[in-house]
Amino acid sequence: MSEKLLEIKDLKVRYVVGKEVSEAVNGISLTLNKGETLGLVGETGAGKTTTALSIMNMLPQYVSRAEGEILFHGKNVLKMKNHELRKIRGKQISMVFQDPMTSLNPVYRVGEQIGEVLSLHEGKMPKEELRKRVGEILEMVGIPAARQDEYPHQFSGGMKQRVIIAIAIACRPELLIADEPTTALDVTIQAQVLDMMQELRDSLNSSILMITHDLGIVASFCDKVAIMYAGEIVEYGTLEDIFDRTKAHHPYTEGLFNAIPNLNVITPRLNPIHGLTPDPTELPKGCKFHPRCPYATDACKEGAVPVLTEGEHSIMCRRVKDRFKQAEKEEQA
Amino acid sequence: MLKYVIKRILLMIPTMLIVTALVFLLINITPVEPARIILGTDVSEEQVENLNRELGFYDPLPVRYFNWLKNAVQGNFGNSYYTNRGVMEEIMSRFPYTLKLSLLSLGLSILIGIPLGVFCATKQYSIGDHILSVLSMGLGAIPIFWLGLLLLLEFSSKLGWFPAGGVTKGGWLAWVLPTITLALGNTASYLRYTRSVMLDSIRQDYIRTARAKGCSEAAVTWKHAFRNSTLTLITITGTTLSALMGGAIVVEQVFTIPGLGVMIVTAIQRKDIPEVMGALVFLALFFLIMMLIVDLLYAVVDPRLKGRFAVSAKKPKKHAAAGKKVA
Repeated sequence: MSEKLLEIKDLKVRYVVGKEVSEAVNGISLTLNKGETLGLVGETGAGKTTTALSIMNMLPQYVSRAEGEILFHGKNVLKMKNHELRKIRGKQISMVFQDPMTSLNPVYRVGEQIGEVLSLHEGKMPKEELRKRVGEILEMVGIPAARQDEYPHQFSGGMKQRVIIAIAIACRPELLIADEPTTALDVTIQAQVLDMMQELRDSLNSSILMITHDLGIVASFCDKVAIMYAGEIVEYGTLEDIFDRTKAHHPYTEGLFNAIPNLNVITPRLNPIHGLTPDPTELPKGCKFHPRCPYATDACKEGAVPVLTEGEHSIMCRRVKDRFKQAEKEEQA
Repeated sequence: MLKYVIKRILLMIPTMLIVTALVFLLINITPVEPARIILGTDVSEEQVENLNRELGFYDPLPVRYFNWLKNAVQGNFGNSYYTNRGVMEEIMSRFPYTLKLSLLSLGLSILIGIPLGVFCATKQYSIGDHILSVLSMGLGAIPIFWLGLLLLLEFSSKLGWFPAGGVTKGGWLAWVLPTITLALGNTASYLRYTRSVMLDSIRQDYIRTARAKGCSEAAVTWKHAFRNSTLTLITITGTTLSALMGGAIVVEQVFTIPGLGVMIVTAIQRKDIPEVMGALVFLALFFLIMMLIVDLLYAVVDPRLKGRFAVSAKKPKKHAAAGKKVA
């Protein structure tokens, strides 16, 4: 029933600066169907933004090396020529960026910046028509059409993010990549922006790749969830799979959930995942999470890590099976 | 906007007063009897003294300054001690040469320096970037007078392609060597400025937005990155043009161009006070007006700076208007 829109196969991205090689993305595979929303969750430096930029083939030139395949409508984005990419960017795939304060060009009117996408992808149109279209798009994101003649510095942060979303949806893209769209906004504005994105998703029927480190956003917004750690997807599943606390999870996912304080219980101390994200230039061997994992054994310290799959739910961990067997045994006993 | 311009023009008055007073003081530290210069050596002491008195030489310094100022405000800058020509007349006959030389070489520097700088920034660390960076540093370090002489020697004496001097006779060929001489150093600095400003704007987030929209690389570079760099480049152009007037002094000497630079140097050497003061007022005014133009251009280039042209009384009105819009 669902049509594959985007398929990432074994994507590896390295940044090479001098002699230092930073392994940002280490062989991830993902599928995104039409109309679906996928949440990509992980802490800073997990490779989320790098993955997003690879999908548009916008990694910084010269310093980055991408391997693997990113199939958009069956065509490999990584192998496309510049003129092919230009036709896709902004029209079929578009991106909402993290920092609304700096993502708009300060010297152009907001309307001009939205109009630019339209004229790039829908050909030249008379000035009046362009203004009308821009006005409509602004109204869609909740900004009065008359404000298209203003400059970005005349807008507040939340308004700027709306403008950026307006730019992204102007050509009704099939895939919208939202790279932490609410991180720079305060909580009430976050809710507004998310509500608006939800409405837009329903009316445009776009697929969305939602990059975030906020599990709350994932829970309210996504159909599928991928948890990223050190450039790998350590757990993938439907929203129910991931948020069902009775199911088996990757220890990292468990750690993320445990770190959320429960409002109904008095917790004297927060419960963090101990340790730090590994340095991408010096990733640990074996399972990349083992130095921080409470269940790690010697076997975890080397070799490839098996992936445990159950339906759509997959977990990249050697210990999950053992731990659950043990738990079952204890229950039976 | 108009109010802002008027305010700026009024602010020029105290600046000019300070500048003229300082130079008047400096040039009078070693006193020169104007009458001796004007009358020459074949006159009696008495005649000298009479003329000195007539010219106000025996008055105290402040009195002399205010007398000069009184005349200057009325547009009378006096006559040269040596040639007895009117100072303004003299300046006006020479200024076109200096202005033409400065503008030609400024244009040349901009036309070559900025595109090369943009190239270096977009192709950072490429071979072309490395070569141009080293070259620009080398060219920037060459003293103008030496470069001028070298060019004269090669292209005028040896190859005979261009005349050595002779700009007064017309002929654009005579302008080629002086223009290049004066432009080379500035081209190098334009290149370096443009490169660093562009490197800065290329890394901004809005460049990524532009790429994500599907803009071509040319549009990303020129429409988005370069447009944001123009603010700095305009500032540099303002100061460069004023510095060019200084550089022109040397070039005018080397290529025997009868410009303002040569005139000032000679006037200072001869202690020709009316000429020095006249030329100074002229150049200072020119500089201030250039700065005003630069400031006004800012508003054209960068919408964020428009606010500063609003005179304070206007502000509440604006807020009221904004309030209405929301309602």
